[in-house]
Amino acid sequence: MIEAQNLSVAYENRLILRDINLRFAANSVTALVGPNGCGKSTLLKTLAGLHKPQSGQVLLQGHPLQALKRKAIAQKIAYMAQAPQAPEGLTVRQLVEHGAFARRRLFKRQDHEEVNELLAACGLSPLAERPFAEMSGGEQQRAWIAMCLLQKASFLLLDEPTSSLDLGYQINILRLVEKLRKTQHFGVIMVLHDINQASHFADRIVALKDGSVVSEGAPHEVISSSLIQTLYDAEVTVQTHPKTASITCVPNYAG
Amino acid sequence: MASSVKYVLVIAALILTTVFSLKLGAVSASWADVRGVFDTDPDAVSRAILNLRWPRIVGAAVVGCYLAVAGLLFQILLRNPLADPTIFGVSSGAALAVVIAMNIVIALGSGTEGGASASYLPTQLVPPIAMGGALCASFAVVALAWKKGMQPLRLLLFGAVLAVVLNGAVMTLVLSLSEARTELAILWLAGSLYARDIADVLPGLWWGLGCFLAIGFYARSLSALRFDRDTARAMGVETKVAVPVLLLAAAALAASAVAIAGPVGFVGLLVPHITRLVFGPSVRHMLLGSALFGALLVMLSDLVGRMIAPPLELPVGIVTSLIGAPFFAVLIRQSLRKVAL
Amino acid sequence: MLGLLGLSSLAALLSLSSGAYATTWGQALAYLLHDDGSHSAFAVVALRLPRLLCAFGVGIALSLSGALIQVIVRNPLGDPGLTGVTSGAAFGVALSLTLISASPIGLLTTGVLGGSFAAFLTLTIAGGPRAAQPVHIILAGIAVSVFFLAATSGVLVMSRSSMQTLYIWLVGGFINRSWTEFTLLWPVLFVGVSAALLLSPVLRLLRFDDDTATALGLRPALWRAVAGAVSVLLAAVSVAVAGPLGFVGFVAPHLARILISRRLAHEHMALWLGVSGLLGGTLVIWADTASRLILAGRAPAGVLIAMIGGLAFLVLARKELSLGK
Repeated sequence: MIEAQNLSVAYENRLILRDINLRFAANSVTALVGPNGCGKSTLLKTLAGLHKPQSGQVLLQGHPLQALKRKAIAQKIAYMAQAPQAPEGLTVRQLVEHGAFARRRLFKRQDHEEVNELLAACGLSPLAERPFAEMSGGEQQRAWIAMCLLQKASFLLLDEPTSSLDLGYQINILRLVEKLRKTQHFGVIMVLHDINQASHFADRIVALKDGSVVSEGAPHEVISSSLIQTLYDAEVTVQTHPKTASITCVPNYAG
Repeated sequence: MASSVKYVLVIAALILTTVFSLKLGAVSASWADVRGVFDTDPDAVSRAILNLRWPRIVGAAVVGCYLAVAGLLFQILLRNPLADPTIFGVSSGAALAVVIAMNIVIALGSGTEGGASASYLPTQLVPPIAMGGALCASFAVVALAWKKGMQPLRLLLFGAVLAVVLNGAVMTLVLSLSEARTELAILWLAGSLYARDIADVLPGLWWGLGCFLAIGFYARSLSALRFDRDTARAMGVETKVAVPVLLLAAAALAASAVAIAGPVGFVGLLVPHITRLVFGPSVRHMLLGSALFGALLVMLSDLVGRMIAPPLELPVGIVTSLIGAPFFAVLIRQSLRKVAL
Repeated sequence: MLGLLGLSSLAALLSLSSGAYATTWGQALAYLLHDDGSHSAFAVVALRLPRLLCAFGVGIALSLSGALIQVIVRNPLGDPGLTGVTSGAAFGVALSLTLISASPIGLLTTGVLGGSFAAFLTLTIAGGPRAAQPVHIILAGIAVSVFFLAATSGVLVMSRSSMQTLYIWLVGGFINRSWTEFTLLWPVLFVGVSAALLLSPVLRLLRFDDDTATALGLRPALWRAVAGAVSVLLAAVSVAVAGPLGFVGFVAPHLARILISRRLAHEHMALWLGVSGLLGGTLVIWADTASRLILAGRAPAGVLIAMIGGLAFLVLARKELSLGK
């Protein structure tokens, strides 16, 4: 369980997040949503221990993150940056193998079985020996996720995993994460800018604006046209699917 | 071609170069003499070869190896494919420190006459002094070029200018020595293995080995550090420890090389790139390959320098600059094609 | 301007009167007018005066060269040293010095050839004079200048001259410069300076991008080439006289711009050029005098210029880069 207590986070001398109190369970999928600049990426980074809060703390299973070594954190929390940069010349397999960094002792050999399993689960087996740089956006994203999963952490934190992808790949990635959760058992906290994706793939939504939590809860509890208006200053009609009960916000383009 | 085959080829090349370096030079030795070097009781000619050329060969190998690995580390850690300890000013800082120390020693009247420039100081002291200088210079460059992060080109630019400034300081101090000493000192400044003795090489060697231990320990972190900082930290790399340690090791390696032969340019720049082309991007291969190729490059350069117009010799540093600068130019063009530097 | 002239004169007087046979300023001036055959007079007239004039001339040449480069590449970080021109010229000069033992004109020609070649290389590596970003030009210049410096060292080493002589020349300075160098320098300088001043109206337009300049009626490529040629000529003659000195070509125009304000510098190019030249000349005189006094003449002026000029570059470029990039 990850817990944020009285978290206030600054970035370049500006206070971005004010007094956040949140809890994330290891068996849930939480989506952080909100307008640009609301602090959702910063919050994610702070939860991953990559950014130091100005005040308050983040607790990982009761231990403050600040007290833990990076390796210890990496064993429990996997984080995928918004625009991660891979070094040149790596194959897909070589990229994914880096995920085991935190788990390996100094002289232990790489467990190829593990890596192959993960590659297969992410649909990357035929591409494993190809250069990473030649992969499509969707394939690269899958590779990053495979790398994160190799950490065998309890939490997967994703910063806008779909922003740079075509629609097909976006859905692909989110489905992949969903599928992998069932076999690998980890909690997910992801920053999404598409509220509909959030409502479908997450069982909990945290809506942020101006550095504070505006609303949180299950999608059907949280999403309403007034919330969307507050967050994004956009007019939408909220529709609930009669059979699947999934929620979709349809923007009102005519105005 | 499998990696092991490549390694065998490189090592074979090294052995060949060693043998030829023993044989060729201002005075060409016969094969018998070369073989004689390895006897338990060599004859006069073989002993001469042993005393003159063997230290040079070892020195060249060590210098090349150290500079190449230092360059590799700088390139990875500073995320800058154009990094090199000499272009950067790190080598100049090391040289300056040594020259200052030399001058202090001479001023205190405890220096001895004659001999190669670095032997005014006890040879054990030269590498640590050089390291101090290298570290200060690294610090200075990073401080100068830092502006909300490390833009590769800024770093290089300021490093290069700092190198010129420091070189100017070095020259001032060197030229204030007497003529005889100046000759050797200047030679050393161009990066030269002239008149190197095994005693000159050994202290730097040991320090360098210590660095290698540290690097070996952090090798996997090095691999992860090639990703952006956040991703590397998310993977579990303790960047606050790993990065300084590795940078220190790199500066120390460069300084050890400077302590042996003066600033030899471009080795740290070229070799990592060549290594990546031959061995691929795996960090383990890069480290080992760079060490080997670096040794090979400097040994060959020294040989070429000696063979161009005997009995005159072209200092090793000049040869590497002549080879390296065009390569540098190519790399600049390549980096131009990539966006936003 | 006047202040500058005053500074220059001050520097000149200081230079004339200091050294192994020190004199007062008044005495120094007197010697200039009337040589009374004493050691001091000799020192002043035969040794220091030509040296002084050479230093002054080289300073002017280098600063104008740098100013022109800064305009041509549209980049305040231009300098004949940083763009490889002086190293290329040095290589040319070294070649002819050692291989052909050439006359001053020969030296100059090879210097110009070398410098032009180096400039060409730098620009090509950096992606062409129009597309090249400032920092790329500098980087390319570093590569080219290191290459040519190494080549020059190589040539000099092969020539069997003593290491120290070689080094002293490479570093750049005015030791033992006398009337021969002077006679080489000043005619070329005259041509170069006149050319630069004549070019000043064109230079203003060159600072715009090529399309705008063409629309205004200029043929930018042509004039860029002309300005480049003048710049290389000036740099080459400096190298032929004093070896490759760095940074003056950058610092002097920069300081000039600061002194007379950016706006004025753009509007009155000739003024900017003139101030740069005077500043450069003064700086070099100071450096040379300082090297004679402080370093007891053992280290040539180039060393001081490298250190101080380099530091100045670091300071000025930091600001420049933070504005530009």
